[in-house]
Amino acid sequence: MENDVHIWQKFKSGDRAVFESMIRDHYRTLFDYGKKLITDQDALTDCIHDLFTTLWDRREFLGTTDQIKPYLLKSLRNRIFKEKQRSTIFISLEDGDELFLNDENIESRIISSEHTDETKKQIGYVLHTLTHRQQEIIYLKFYENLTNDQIATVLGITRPAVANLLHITLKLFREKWEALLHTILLFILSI
Amino acid sequence: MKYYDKYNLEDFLLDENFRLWVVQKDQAGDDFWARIEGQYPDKKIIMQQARELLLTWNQTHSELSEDNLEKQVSRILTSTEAPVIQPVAFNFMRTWVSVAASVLLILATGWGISWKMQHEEPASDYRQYVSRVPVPMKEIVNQTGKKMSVKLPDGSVVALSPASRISYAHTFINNKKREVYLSGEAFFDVEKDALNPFFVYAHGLVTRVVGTSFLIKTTEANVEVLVRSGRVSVLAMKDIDSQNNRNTELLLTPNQQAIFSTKDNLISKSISSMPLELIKPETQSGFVFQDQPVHKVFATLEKVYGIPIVYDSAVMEKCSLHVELSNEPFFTKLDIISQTIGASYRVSDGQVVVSSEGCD
Repeated sequence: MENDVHIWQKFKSGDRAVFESMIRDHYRTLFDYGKKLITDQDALTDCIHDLFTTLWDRREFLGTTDQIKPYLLKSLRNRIFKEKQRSTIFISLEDGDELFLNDENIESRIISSEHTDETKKQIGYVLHTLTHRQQEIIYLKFYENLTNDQIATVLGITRPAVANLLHITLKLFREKWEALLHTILLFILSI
Repeated sequence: MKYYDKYNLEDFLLDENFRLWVVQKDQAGDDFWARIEGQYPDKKIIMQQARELLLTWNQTHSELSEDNLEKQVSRILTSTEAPVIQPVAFNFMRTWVSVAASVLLILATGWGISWKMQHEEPASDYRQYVSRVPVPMKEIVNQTGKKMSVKLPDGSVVALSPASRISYAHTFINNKKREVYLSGEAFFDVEKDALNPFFVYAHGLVTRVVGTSFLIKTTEANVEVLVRSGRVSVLAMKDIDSQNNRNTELLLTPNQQAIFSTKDNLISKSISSMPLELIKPETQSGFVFQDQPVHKVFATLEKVYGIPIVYDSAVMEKCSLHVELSNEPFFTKLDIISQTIGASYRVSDGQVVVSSEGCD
């Protein structure tokens, strides 16, 4: 992304306007992604705040990047992970040691959006039965529309590993969905 | 040519062209995919499913309101503003959030300041740092024999113990911070205001909160911070400016306590000697356990008191409890439980660590 290189350079040279538009462009993405990693909204906005202020403070020492969005997502992910490690108690209250939260909102959001479609309910249900990591990769790929390269950056794994994980996850998703459809079909037939 | 006849749901999902066609409503793809659909009629349903999935996933309903977004953006912009030249000591105080300020400050004023910071006594003494604050301050001293309730301009309430004093600026919120200086002992019940965090400076220790309640007690030798509700972070004042030392910042949760030794500038984490119930037990039976596995008992205690309990679940797998507890203090409950199952415990780093040889 030629554009990102340019924006990043301007930001590094201390351009406040570019910094501001960078925050505006990415804040919502970071917030929505962060919401899935930590439930405490104050802690989350603090993390994002600290992420940007640290970037600004250290801008002269930062390397170049042509991938601002994955870079920010990755930094936020690390921050939240650290924050959670520090406040061990919050982990124990927030259910589970895996980073990605089992988000009931995905389901309710799908249900509430547009028409309460049966298919959407099913999708939400099946998604729910996946592991946190599997949900996270679906989120990054299809909600955030990141490329495999970008997902690799965010999760800190290799590109082939991303492709592999995606493939396994979607295959599992299909199988579970088919099983669900099958059950529903049997149920309808039995009435 | 791709082998669409072999395509499964996941293959369509991962097909970049297919995804772009669905998500970006790329009309150029219409003909192509209609042709594929005609060519492989048995793939029609799968393609339909894949489209539905992609569309569902692509609808992002952000939980963040426009208002909140604006607030957060301006909060970041304010904290990263270049510092106005101010007296040294004041900058020393206000650079918690913006480390930039300190970096620029040191660059701007050169070695003079860093020399000063290393060789002067840190501004840990109450009088010393109150006198350095450049804005008009209000001081309240409790000369009575009982606790005094002080309402701060932001609505927060301070219960000031006898022979204790606090100071704060007349215009309470400065640089998006609410700052109070304490000598002695006080219980703080802080109004929630995420945009203007609340800071208490006491005898070399900085306590930072957003909205919560906690007690601070200063003596000659140490500062104790005990959390009643919410989250509180503490940091030695000498570490404020140094980014490397920011990891000495400790996060406290209810019923946890930090003890800061002013002599060696060390903070340790512990548990309140008399933890309070944060929530009521979820179950009707409360603390009545009838032949319950020990992990359930510990989970209930953790939840109610907010104190992490660490134990080896494999070793203690077979331990079960038949015990009725009610209003005993937390540590009495722990005594009863550990005696019943023949275990022992100690408090370490704000957690309870239970050791046991297991049960048969």
